Amino acid sequence: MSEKFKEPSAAPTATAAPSQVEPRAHVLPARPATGRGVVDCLLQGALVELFAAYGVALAPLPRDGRQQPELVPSLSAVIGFTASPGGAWANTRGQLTLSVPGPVLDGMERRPALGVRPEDWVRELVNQLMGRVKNRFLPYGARLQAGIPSSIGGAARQPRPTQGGTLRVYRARTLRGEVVTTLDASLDESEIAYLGRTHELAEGELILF
Amino acid sequence: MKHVLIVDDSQTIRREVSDALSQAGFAVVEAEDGVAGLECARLQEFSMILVDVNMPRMGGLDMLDHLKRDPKTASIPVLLITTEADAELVQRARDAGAKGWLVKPIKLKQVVSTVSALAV
Repeated sequence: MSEKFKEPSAAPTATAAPSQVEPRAHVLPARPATGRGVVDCLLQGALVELFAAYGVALAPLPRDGRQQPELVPSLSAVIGFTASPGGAWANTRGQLTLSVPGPVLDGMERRPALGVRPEDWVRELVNQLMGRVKNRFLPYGARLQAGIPSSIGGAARQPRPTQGGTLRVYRARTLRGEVVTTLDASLDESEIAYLGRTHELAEGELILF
Repeated sequence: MKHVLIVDDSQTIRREVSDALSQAGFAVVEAEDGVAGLECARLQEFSMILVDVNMPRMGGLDMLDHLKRDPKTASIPVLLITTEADAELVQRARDAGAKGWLVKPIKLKQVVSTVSALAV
């Protein structure tokens, strides 16, 4: 949990005795002072950490008014999701896409083995991105159930909002080209609040029973 | 030689795990979903099975249930390898008789050492 997400008014003052310090509020503002919403922060964080795990540094670009990237990289994959009933955004459906230029894939520490199509690797990457996004939403009371990732090509790569969803387009620069990810879902940030860490595992963690 | 079955709909994951385990001296068989994985597990004896959770046709948790219900396959150690990190799913796997849960991205050395320790 980054400091910038915490409620500033709940911070302890320098003069307060330790016993008088009130616990920090766990309810987050829907839109922090950075101008990015919680969804933006979580998704961009997940994207940066995913690529960092494979040795690629990403610099997220600010979301601007242009919701259409000028050029969508040729290797793209999509994964659908549904928010579980009983949690935040109950029954909301959406989809997440990831588009990666070939040179970025070539620069990853773990490239696909010989004979494996790069499209399969991008499908796996969008699957892992979805996993990270899901894990980051759990402390906010949202349980997303992911579908099966699939490759997309041609005109389908160009992001368009579907079923009245709100399309969010995120671009991030690397030394070898721009990565584009889109989130198409009606996710009202006023419906979520930080509830505290849950007991989910961390990425890369192994537990034996 | 010990035989290991890797079940994942991602060819990338199957191939890299398969290569790492083969180099460590295991004989590896690959299957692309739970249905194909179950068929393999019933046709051949395996020392360990590695299973993804989110797959088409049959997911890893359902495959785990089938494996543990069948006396021929019930004693094979099963390790789930997945992007899922939800504690409820982990508990479900534990209750169903899995040996462990690994959240992607995988570290190949860790996979090899885990299989070496758990394979029967």
